Amino acid sequence: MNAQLILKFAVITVLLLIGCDAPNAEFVYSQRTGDLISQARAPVEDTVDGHFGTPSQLIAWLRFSDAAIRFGRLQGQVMGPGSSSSRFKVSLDLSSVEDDLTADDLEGLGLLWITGKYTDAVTENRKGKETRIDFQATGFDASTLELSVNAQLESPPDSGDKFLIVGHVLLHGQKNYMHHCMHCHGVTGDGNGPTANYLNPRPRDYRLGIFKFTSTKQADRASRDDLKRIVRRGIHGTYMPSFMLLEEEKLDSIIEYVRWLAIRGEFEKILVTELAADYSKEEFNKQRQRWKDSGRNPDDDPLNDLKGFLDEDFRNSIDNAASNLDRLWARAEEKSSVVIPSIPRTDPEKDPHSIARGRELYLSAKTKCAGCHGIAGRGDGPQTESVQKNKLGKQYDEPGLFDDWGNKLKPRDLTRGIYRGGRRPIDIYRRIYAGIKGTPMPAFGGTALNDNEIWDLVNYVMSVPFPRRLPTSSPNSHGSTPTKSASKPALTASRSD
Amino acid sequence: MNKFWVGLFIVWPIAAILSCLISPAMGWWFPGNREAATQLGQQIDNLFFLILYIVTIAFIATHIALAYVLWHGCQNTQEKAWYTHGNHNLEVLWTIVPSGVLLFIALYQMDVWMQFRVEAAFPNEIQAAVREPIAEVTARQFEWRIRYPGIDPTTGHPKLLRPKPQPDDLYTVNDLHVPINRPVGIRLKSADVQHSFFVPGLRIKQDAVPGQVIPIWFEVMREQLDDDGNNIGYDLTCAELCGWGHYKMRGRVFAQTEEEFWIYLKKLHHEQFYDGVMKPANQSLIQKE
Repeated sequence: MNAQLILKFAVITVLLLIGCDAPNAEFVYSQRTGDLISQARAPVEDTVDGHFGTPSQLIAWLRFSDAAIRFGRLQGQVMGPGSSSSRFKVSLDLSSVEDDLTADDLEGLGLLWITGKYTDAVTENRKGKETRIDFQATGFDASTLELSVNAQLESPPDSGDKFLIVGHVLLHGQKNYMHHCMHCHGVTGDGNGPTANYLNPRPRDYRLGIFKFTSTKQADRASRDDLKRIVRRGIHGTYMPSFMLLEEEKLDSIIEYVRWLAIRGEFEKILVTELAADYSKEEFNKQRQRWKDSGRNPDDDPLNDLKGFLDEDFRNSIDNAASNLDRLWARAEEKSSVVIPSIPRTDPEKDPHSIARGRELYLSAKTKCAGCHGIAGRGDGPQTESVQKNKLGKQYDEPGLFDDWGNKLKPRDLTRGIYRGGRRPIDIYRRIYAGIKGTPMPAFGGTALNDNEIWDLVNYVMSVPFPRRLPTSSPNSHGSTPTKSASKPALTASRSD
Repeated sequence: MNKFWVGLFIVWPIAAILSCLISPAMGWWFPGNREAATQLGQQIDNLFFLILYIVTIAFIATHIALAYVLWHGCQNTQEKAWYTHGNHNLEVLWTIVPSGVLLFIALYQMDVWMQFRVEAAFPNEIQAAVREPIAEVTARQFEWRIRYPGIDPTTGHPKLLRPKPQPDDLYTVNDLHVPINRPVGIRLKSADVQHSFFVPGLRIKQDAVPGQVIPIWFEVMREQLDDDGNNIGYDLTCAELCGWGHYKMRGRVFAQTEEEFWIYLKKLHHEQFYDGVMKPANQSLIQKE
């Protein structure tokens, strides 16, 4: 009895002292990758891993320009030999690093030789094949200015050899992301963290590369400023909280990491899309059956086709995917991608008819706003009860509106005065101009509506939570029912003023 | 019995006295090792110290008594122990003395409680502050949403905060700005579960209860400066476990002069009604001291 008690006590004490280790973090592949036959899935997974790595060993794929992802690059130069075969004296340019960089911060960062004998250093692996040495910094001693690396060098690098230490921003971003964001958005950024199941709306899955609330044009990705604004302010009406007080430098690093996760996901998506049409399990089995039925001609074997594609064209696909992503994400940063109205907002105080014109537009067949948002703006338009088609023209199983992630959506209830993408006039202008990406909210700017019309619509939308400001209600009947205000077009009322 | 136990029991009162003495210098007392930045907070601190003194005296006295009894016991091996269990007089004594102490504390603190919570007892200026709050703070999982009244275009002064949102209201999150040197009122609400508005630096703690609007008031006496003299504001935390993200509910109460506060509201107004074309807010206005 006593011995048992002591044993229990000892076990608990030991457990308390050891504590829990952080769970092993892993990147997961998308559902569609999992649907591929194994011969097609393996190259996709290997390619993604080969260019982006795993959570414990990230890879900075330097195909991407700084405009797309800022991995963080520190320039350095060898100043002389060091105290051991894996150390050498350097001068490092730390001007781009805000905080004091410690030896720990450099640990695990990639080291690229730009000049000198180690630029193309290779090593023989176990199979006798030559592979490039992946140099990594393992520490930096600020007092002796000695940099240590993960390899034993036969001879120290020559003085004057230039190198880059890559990735401090990304690694810092990962650390902060895992601390602040991972619970909801998941290790992979798939919006599937441990708390995700308890949240409605679900956390964003970055892997489509789509962010809903941006300042950029319809075809453009989200800019850094957009992501920053969302993280700073939170998304009112959802579980995304505000990180208003997070240090600027931490926030910046998180944004880079989120972009990197989004690009990783999009890269995987592009590769899968190339293969899914023919090599998803379902499609492949059909093809295979056809091939068997038609006499098993070895030249037509679908597996041979796949092999041919992987040997010849796949490399091109990877290349194109990377350059496209680099271009698209870099483009979002350009000034020309940002939606800027050509004229200032019509002041509803000075032009009281603006709200009435906006309401007429809201109800018009040109915009069809009321189709989803409802005549009174309660987000209960008839479209929410009809069966919609997805992007491939296939009908959804149940009536209602869906977003690109497959979540059922409710159009915004405009009477509540909660604006997820921000309540500034410019925010609402941009929602109408460029639409809300990944959702059925279309873009009206440049085509259907001119800037004057959008501002009228903005003024109307901003007045919906305040019935007194609506054109059809008189001061003593501001509780009028929605159908009444719908049957009395706004312009009539404003003319009688 | 040996004298080791006597030593053990006398170590604690000595440690207690020592820690009481060095705590202020080591910054173990209150947030930032500073006195409260509100008058009321200082009175609350005094109550805290009063209770601390009472408890310290009782603690030291009991331990000295214990040490004495043990010491006496090991010196004197002849005399037999006597038992006090069931002694009527002693029972009465140690019921009445602590009751008296508790009653004293209960009565002594009423004044402070009344100043903080009993609206009928507020002086006029505090009643006015509570009637005309400068902002509404809505706690939600896991952030503080703040609503200020809009700015009157004719006078340039903030309007009165209406209970219901108005078209020109100003919104921010996790960053509550308040003027110093006058009582300010806050309407405290909760959008979901129970939270608690806790500003340790001001000694303000008030639960936010769903379905209720709870008025709070405080008068900040000075800005919270860091070592370099920058105004960094007071920490605002949630003091009621409100869900898995409770720890994320960190905000800031930024106390500044009345003029700076108005400039801040104007800047907020400009930001909130930004239409993408307007020129940036009037810089001279913002940077003005």
